[in-house]
Amino acid sequence: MARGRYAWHLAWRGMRRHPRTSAMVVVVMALGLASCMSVLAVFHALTADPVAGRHGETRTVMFRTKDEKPDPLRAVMQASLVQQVVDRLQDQTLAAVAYGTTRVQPATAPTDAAGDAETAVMFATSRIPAVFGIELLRGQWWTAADDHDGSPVAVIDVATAQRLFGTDNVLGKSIRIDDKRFRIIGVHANWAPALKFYAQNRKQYARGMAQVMAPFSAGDGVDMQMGQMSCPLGNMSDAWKQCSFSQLWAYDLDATQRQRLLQTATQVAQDFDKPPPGVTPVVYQPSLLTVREWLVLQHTVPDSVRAYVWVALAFLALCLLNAAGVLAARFLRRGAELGVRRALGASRRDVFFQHLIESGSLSAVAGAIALPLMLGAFALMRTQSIPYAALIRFHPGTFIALCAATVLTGLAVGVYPAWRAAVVPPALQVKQN
Amino acid sequence: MGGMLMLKTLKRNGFMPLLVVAQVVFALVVLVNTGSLLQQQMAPILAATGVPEGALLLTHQLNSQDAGQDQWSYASLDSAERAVRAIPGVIAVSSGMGTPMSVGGMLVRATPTDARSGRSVDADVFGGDHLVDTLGLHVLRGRDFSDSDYMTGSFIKMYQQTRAALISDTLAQRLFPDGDAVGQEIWMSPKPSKGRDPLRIVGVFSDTLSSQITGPSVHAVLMLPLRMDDFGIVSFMVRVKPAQRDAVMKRLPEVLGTALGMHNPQTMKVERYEDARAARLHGNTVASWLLLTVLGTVSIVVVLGITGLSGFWVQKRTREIGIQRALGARRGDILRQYQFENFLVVCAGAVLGVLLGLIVAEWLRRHFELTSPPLAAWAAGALVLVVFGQLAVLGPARRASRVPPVVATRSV
Repeated sequence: MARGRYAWHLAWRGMRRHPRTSAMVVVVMALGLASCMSVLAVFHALTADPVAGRHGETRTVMFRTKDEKPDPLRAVMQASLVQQVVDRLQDQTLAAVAYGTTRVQPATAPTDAAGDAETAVMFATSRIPAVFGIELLRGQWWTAADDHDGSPVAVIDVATAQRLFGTDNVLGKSIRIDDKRFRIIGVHANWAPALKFYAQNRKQYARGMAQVMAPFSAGDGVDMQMGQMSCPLGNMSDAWKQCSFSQLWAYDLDATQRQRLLQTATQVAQDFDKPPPGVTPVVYQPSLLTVREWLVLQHTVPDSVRAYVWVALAFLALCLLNAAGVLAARFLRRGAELGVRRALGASRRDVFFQHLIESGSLSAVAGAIALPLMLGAFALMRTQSIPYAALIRFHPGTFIALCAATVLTGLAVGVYPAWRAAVVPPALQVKQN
Repeated sequence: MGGMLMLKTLKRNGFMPLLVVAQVVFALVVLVNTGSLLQQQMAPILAATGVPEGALLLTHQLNSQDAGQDQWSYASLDSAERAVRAIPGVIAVSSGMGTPMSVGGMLVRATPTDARSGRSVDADVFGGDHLVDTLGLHVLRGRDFSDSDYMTGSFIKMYQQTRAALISDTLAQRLFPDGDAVGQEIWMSPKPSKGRDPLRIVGVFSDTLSSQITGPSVHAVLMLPLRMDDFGIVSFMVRVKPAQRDAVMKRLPEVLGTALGMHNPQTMKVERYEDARAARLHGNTVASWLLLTVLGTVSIVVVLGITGLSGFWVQKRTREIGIQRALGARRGDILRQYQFENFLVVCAGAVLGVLLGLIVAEWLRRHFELTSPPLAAWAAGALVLVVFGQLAVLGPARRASRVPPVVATRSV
């Protein structure tokens, strides 16, 4: 115990003896840690599984043709096509999803009232709550019969209920989506995956979560903004073929179910894309994508962020080497005095731990300084108009990672110099200098 | 003193030079990559806008729903243009889609492809009525759109039926590096579309900033002769006499909004081109400052690091220097010796750093389409680090050269 305290005492004195280099080591390590951890936190936010915590895999279907490279556009298809696939596979946890933003108002509001045109709306078939795992707070979801009839019913989230009606007891009230009336039959909990993966479109990081949900077939005639295009969902005719924006999402399918899904998708796509007589038909070979694969295909992690990760790692390495160099120089300068200590009976272990404590304390201080620096960097990033700014958040995991990084860097910086100091042979040092 | 002997000294005191080498390696990787990221961020800030200064006004994307309509017809847009042109000070006005500096809303990008060579380039598409004149650009070769080129129609019709196109100078050079672009044919997609004729380039206009303000496409713009009909989202561009711009800006929402039948004309957002550009480049500006800070920090860290290590090294070898001096080495010899040693060590680090950097860059290029900094950047980075190294060693080397020969006779 006393030995330990003595080692601390010596380490403290060591730091006090070189205030300038101590400060430099701390600042350099803090900068390295803060920049590296900030960039890694961004990277993590962008790569994290948006539907974490569910045991099954969520997948989408990509209708690519044979020998075609994976293209995310091939997963976003015409409404009638995905509808057919869902209709043929009634027993699977599978849903057709069309997503966009449009104006949503209480049905009692005047039709020409200026309103918020940016409400997130999702039209989906009735198995959507199971596919995405959306919780219902009150009321009920629509059924397969509603899908079939195109019943104008809707399930909205609590916040939208509060915004439109000032209460969350809204069952039976009516809203207008674009120009069409819908009766509210349910209120869902604010469903907020970390990234709105189902609406991911290249570099657009959707922030608002799906607020209003309604049967897929009820979307007929509703004009929505999807990405940068305005699409009338109903008129999915030839002229608007380029305006396809419906996707299939399936949850937790086993191998045979997946096989059947792919077969059905192939058939439907093949029938759908019948060429005029005399022209060879395109051969479809759809494939399944997990959420992760889908996001990779969408370039959710911008290349610039990858570049920043590499640069930040190299910067951290530079900072650590720098600190290690300064500490090594400092420890080895003490050669004579260490020789005396060793000659007086201090063990190698004592000397080693004395120096490890010295470097460890410095890195702990650096870690403590890095924390506010990192929070500052987050705040700075959030004020900028970077598309994924809303995803950058500080959570306990980040803090733990910072602590771990601090300890590791402390060891990386301290061990070698401390060892060099410890192997100083006692007698020789005393004699030499 | 021979080089071989110096190498021997370096070898004997391996640890310190090794640390310097490692620092130089990582410093080089950081400096060069940060530098090239900085260059990417700065490029659009420095790029010429190509439009007359102080003369352009842009409206935010106007939504026909705010006028209680699903779409605007060409007739209503045309009458709105007429109304705006009547404001004193207005020189030209055009409705359009994919306007300069637009961020959200309708922004159209295409990949024009040379119909013969199949070479394709990412570009912005601006569609509108006499846009070249409204944006204050010039036709460099060929001609502007004639009345027969213009087509009145919707978005899909435009994609399917437009036959004429104007391209910017940069786009022309990138699509047709060895010939005149005028009269050539292009596709609006990487592959020819079935049942459609290619577009014919009627002219080349002076470069202007596209909406895609990063990367090599910064000046790549394609213009289509489009009189918008049945569009739900429309932008307006207005060129005015610079002296009267503020006055026009005040009146524009009222005049344009009323002509378009909007319910709340005063909520219309009108921006000066320069403001829109500054807002669009705000992120680049911040990132540039951040990267400059990183560059500065890395420079300071690496110089201080080398100074510290060299200082320690000199101190450790004080006796040795004393002996050298006693044996006849002059001050200049000692100074040069340390400078040369530093040069060797930094060069070794730079060479390793370039190798490592190129290997990582190649790996990144294969996996993530990341472009690596050019070789010249690596060379420049290595040179900068050699200079930094010499600066850093200057103090310690001079201290070494001042060690008196008498030290050789002392025991400490």
